[in-house]
Amino acid sequence: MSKTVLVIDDDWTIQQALRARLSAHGYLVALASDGPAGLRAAQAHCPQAILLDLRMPDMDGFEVLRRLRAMPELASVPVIFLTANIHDTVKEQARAAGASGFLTKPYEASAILELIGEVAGSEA
Amino acid sequence: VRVAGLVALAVATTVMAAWQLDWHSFEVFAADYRMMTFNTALGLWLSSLSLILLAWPCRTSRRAEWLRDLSLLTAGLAATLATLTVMEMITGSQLGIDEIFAIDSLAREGHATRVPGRMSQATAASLLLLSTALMFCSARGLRPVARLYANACAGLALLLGAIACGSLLLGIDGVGRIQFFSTMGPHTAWIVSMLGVGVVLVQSAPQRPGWYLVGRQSATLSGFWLTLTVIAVFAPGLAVTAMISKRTADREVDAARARFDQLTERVVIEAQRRVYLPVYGLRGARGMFAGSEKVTREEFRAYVQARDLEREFPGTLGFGFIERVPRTELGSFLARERADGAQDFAIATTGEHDVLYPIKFIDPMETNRPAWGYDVGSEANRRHAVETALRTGEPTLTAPITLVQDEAQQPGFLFLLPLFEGDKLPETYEERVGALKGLVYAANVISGIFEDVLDVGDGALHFGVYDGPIASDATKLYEDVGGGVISMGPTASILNPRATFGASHQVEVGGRIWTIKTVSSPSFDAAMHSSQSSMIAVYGLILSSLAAGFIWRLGCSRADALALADTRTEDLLRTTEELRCSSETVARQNVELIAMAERAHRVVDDVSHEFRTPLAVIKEFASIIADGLAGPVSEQQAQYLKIMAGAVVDLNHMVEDLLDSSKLRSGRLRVERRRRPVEEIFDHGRATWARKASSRSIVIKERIDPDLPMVYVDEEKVRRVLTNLVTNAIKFSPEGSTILLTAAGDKHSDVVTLGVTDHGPGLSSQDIDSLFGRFHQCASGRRAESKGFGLGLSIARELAQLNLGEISVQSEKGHGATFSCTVPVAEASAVLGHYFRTIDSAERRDEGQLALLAVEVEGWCDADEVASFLASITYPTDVVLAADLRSEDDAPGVAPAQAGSWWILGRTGDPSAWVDRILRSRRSQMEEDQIELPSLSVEVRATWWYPAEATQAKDAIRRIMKGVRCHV
Repeated sequence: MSKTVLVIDDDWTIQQALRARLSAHGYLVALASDGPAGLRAAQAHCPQAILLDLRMPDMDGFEVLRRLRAMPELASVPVIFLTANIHDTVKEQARAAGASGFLTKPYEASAILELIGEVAGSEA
Repeated sequence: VRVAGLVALAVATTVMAAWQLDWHSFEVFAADYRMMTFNTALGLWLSSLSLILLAWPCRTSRRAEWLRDLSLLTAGLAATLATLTVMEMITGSQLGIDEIFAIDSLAREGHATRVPGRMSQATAASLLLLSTALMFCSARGLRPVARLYANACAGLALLLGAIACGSLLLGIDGVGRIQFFSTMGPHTAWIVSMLGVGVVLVQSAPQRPGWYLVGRQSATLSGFWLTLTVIAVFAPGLAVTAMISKRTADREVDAARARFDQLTERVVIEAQRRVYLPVYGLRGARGMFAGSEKVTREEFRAYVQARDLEREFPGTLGFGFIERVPRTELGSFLARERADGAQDFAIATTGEHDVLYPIKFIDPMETNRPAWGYDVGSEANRRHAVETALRTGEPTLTAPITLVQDEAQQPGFLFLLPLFEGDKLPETYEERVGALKGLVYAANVISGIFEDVLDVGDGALHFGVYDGPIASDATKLYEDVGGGVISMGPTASILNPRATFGASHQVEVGGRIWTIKTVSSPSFDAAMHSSQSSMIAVYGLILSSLAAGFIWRLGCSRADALALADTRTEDLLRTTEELRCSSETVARQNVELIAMAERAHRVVDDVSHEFRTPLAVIKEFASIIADGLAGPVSEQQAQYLKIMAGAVVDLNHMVEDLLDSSKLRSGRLRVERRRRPVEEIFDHGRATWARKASSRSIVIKERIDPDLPMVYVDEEKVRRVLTNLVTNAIKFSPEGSTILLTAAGDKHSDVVTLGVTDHGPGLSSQDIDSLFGRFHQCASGRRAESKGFGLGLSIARELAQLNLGEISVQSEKGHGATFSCTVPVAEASAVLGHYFRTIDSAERRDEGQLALLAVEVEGWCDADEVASFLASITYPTDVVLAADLRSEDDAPGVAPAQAGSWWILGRTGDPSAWVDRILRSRRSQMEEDQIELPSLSVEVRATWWYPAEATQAKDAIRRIMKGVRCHV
């Protein structure tokens, strides 16, 4: 059974690029454009990994992570931050908040696949 | 005020010119009103000039001072003139100032009824007040009290002028018994009033910005005591001078009076002696008659000839003998005389008296012939004298008569001596008449008698002789004013009625009262007032003025100094205020600049953030297409897509460079230096570098020395340095070439050197000089296939410096280049050495303080966490040292598990503010991130001024570190 990866990012183009890349590698990809939608999608799909943008309208990535961690069924889902913010402090904060990985845009496709493979297991 | 001054000046100038040029029509300018005197005009001229100077505005303080001095000088001259005049009036002395400046033609000719220079009492007083007021106004460093004096003086002068004006206009001279009639002329009074008002007004002139007005009195310091002191010195000096001068003048007058009296006595005695001289001749003749039975004509002539008349009896024309002849015996008398050989003898008589007194003998006959035979009794004065002589039996003088033998018809007199028979003087008139032999007499002219009498007066006297007890023109006999000028007879007196001294003496001469009057001669008057009293007055005035001026100057100097101090203080306060305002402005601008910089950084941050997402999309889709995930692509398409992906990576690097540069510039880059093995730096960068190099088929080789010591670095930053150097090398290396990464060092060295060597075109020395500048692009042929902003090497150098290291390059044109970066080994001494080297070589070595803070951290035990935390709340340039971490030598690889002490070393303008900032940073971090951070206690352990105390600071810090088990 294919693994499901939830992409929560307010940028549609990034969503499409990630869906194309991950789908090509056998993942089921769910998309959400903001924090609340992402939380709903997470509850609906129970993904094996979540790629989460940090800067989003209404609710930022840290808040989404905090709420995910507050949901018992989703508390252990690995979350990988994928952000354009490259500040060291943000990286520290992400680690402190319990993120499983931290990738910056523009990302290397191989790095994403490798990390998702680590945290969620391969699609096979 | 200026117009008033100019009008006064013009009037005074006209008057002075009128006096000097003899414009007599000016002398009386209106009915009963005389022109002001020359000295008045001069004083008013000086005063009005002084007022004009006080009221003349000027642009520069230097010119104002010049005007002030000139005004003071002119006012001082006017005051001197007035003072001298007042002194003349008080002492009664003549200082000569009335005639110094003006002697018009009338005065020169002696016709003037007044001295043209002599100013009146009221004028002198007004001028003194006015000039004093002007001096107060123009003196330096005046106090408000001086302004009071100036106004008081000007007010008094104004009052005098007003009284003069009023009395002249109303034609009154006082109220009741109070006389206030002024001796001041109307135009003098008018000018004095005008100048008085001017002095009061000019002091209150409004201040015009940028203009100086000397007369305007600003209420500065109080000079009451100074003024009082000056007055206390000047007034007694003036009083003593006046007193001494007056006493001297009095003594001179007394001495002159005594001398005059002495000379007068001598003259009177001499005059009396001269008058009595003929009596001696008469008494001789009486002896001759007494010793002879009958004195013949020849015997009498022989007697007279025996006397030297001219020498013995000056003024005596001759001696004669008068016989008493009753008219009834006149014929026998004549016959007897002619028989005696006097054939020419004839009697000249006009009287009707029964008894005749013809002159029987008279000698010398040559000069007295007209008197021979003259009946003395025929003329009343002579007859009266004869009868008086008979009554008294004494030598008797006639009243003034004209001698018949005197052709000049000048006043003369006869001295008569009666001769009686027997030895005793008969007692009664009848007996005397009966015993009378006759009378011997001397005929005298007054001019001869008193000639040269004046010589005994040494020329100091003039004298006159008057018949009777009253000296008048009617009784005048003789007056002599010296120089051969005499006057005789009852004519107008020629004696000076205004002579200083005069005396009258009544003398009894031959039964008559004569008055001898003496007056002092002009030469005596002139000599009487020696210059002594004047000199005393002048010298006393000068001395008093000098003493007062000295005191004033001293006081003014002090006042000037105080005023200067006040001015400087005001300047200082103003400057301080301006500085404070500037400081506030700078602080405000600084805040604005910081906000602007913050906004600019945020913009760069946002832009770089916003760039990344589209870059990621472009790169990812290019990669997806190239990987064939979107369908089959040709080989050429795949290559183009690869180039596109490479361009995206370059663009991303440029964005990252911009962001890093911005962070470095703003000091917001966080640096966490820790102990790290060199290999780790390479391990985490190797894959990225290889991927970059593979795009151009470049191979990266490594040569890392074994057993390298641990280094004290921010690993990520050093890796970034290497990444930038590798990126730079890849840019300029030919495709398929090799890049060599090296890491070298040994246990004895305090640095590890990281190197990147390429085989590119190399660098010229010119390129090397400017290689690490921001936005640098190589000028020479070293061209990269991929472009950037030229920030990479600049960022690399700054990051290397943040790691307390240095970046350098060795290259030769055409033979590649080696970029080297040093990092300090993880030893306290090495770190400190590099820290000092870094701050010493910093581009900006501003004066500031080097502070050593001791920090106690509680709550965390992980050294990395503490270091990271401390790095987050300090500046990137600060050094954080763990003071009590045990060195690796003691316990390799083991970090202590207890809370520890830390040192923070850094430069700051204000250590206390730095401590506050550290604590504030911690609080704000806790509030923003809502996390618990360890509690801190921070203490400033030591501070040094840097670089001034650089040596002391280095020594002290090393000493402190040595005493502590210091570690990094």
